[in-house]
Amino acid sequence: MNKIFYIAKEEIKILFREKIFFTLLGVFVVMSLISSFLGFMATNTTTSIYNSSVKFLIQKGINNIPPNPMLSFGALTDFRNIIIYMFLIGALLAVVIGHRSFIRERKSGVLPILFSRPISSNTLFFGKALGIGITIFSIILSAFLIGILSSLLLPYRHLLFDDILRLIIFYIFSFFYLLFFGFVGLLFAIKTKSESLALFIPICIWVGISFVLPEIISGQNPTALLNPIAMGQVQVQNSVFFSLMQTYLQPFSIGGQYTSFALQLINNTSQTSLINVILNNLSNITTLFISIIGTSTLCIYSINKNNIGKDEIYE
Amino acid sequence: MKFMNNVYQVITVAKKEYIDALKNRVFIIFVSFLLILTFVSIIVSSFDFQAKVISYQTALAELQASHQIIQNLTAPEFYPLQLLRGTIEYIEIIGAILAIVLGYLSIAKEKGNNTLQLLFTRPISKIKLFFGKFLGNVLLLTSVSGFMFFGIYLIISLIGKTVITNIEIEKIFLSFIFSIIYLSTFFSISALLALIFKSLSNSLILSFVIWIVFVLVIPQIGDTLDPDNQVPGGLFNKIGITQKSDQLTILKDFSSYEKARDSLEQSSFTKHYERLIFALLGIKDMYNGKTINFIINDKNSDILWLVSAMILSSTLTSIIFTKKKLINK
Repeated sequence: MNKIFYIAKEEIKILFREKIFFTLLGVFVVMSLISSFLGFMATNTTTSIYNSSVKFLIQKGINNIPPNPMLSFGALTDFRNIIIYMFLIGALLAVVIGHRSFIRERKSGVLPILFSRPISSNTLFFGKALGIGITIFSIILSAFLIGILSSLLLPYRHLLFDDILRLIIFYIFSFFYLLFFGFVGLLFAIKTKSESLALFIPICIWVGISFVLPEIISGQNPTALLNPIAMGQVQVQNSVFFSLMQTYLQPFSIGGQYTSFALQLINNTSQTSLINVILNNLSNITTLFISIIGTSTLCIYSINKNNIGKDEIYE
Repeated sequence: MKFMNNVYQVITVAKKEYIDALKNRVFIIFVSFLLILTFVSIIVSSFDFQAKVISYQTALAELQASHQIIQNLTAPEFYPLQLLRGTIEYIEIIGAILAIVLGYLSIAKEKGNNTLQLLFTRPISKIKLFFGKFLGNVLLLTSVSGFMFFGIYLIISLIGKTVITNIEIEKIFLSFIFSIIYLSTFFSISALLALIFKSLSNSLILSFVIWIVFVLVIPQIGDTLDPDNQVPGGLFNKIGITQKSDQLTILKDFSSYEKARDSLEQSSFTKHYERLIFALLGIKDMYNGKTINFIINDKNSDILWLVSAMILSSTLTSIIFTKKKLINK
């Protein structure tokens, strides 16, 4: 057990020394910081446009005006952009963390030395996994704290207890989503002989999960899925093709499942209770856990099978 | 004679770049991925259109059966080039990654294999080497884009059994040319970072950070800040202001917000590429059926941005390539 903790500790120490990690982390933190501000700005401007529209309609003699649609959204709606940044930058950051954690050892050639010590492949994996997990957790925690802090700074948009609870559930789910990508990055850092390929393949997988599968299932264009409002409006198309795709590919669409659950938590327009949101998404949560267990099993298998200590890696 | 010799040297380097990339597994994986996605996207779009037609026919039949007014129901119109929206978005996303791969490999293979020492024993200058590399990779991007756009043409005209007019062919051709310019920019950025950074993997990660910011994050912010995107179905539709002129009158008071939002979008050259191609292919409804001259005139600022980004990035790369000490002893 001590060995696992030692490997994890070293992992975190080395990662936090890397400039490139800090660059990516910086982009993520900045985006987390401005995401609630962007949401607040958009909500505020839309409300002002609504008020101007009401004046315009009254001047035209129309009095039967629908209520402001923005009022049906809670303060938590201002956080909806964070779903996208978690989905984009967070996932890329996680891939990089997983990738760096193994490539570094392979490049420096310390793996044969490491395996000359009484350390098993399983210990090595669990140490790395713990290191990746703690790093991702600290990133998620800082994003959460930034979110809470920024909500306190924004006028009239303070979060209620239920909102904070929803936000906590969202960040916990996001942690596991990023952990999955961290393990994907780790898996290809173990398996692939080329350093660039070890980074490109997880990015291909990420593009597939984030854009391709949701498009095939819903018929939505790739970038339409980056708009939290458009994502919430995705409807199952009235077609045999999309019904088939929905049936067979939905279980693999981890990205689509993540955004769907996240939107139900944060962009809760249907006023569904938190417990019901969780119960409705049990299958999504299960799929994510199965994916994490699957990738970690593959990582352990690859460490054992590839005898990576003897391999060389090239650019 | 000297000029011909220079041209020969540049072409030789370009040819080597081209052949090397074709032998590279990473490149082949990405090209295959891009091509598959292109075709999948067109097929998905055609199914999507088919679904809309079925929905329309069902609604029409229901209204007719209950003897209700059918004038308010708009039939979906088929414009073959509009099926390319997903494909263009994949060029923006995956095509850019492909260009990053090429830029990275072009420099990484020399740095990693230490072949520059050998190369500079030959009488070849750095600038010729750069031109050769740039030419070879741009030709490669041209081949990939050409293959893709030709495939698009074949799918729409043969499988879709749609007659593509000469103007539409010209529009596809122009989209192909602008796609090469767009991809070449990413090639240059990636090569530039690979040249600047000591660690190749750091340069690659930074290329991805730039890619994610310009291709996905900035356009996403611009899109989500759009007031009409805040409410499902659109704010104005929700409160019954359907006339465009009325909407514009109300939005006059919010011009500074809209200006800031637009400026943010404009800072991404991907957005300029998207606006230009969406106009050319009529994906943006207001440009559907318009002449090429009209579109080019209306979109000249996007063209200028796109071309400037390509010139700037390739010039910077050439300067660094020629000035930087490439061989570390």
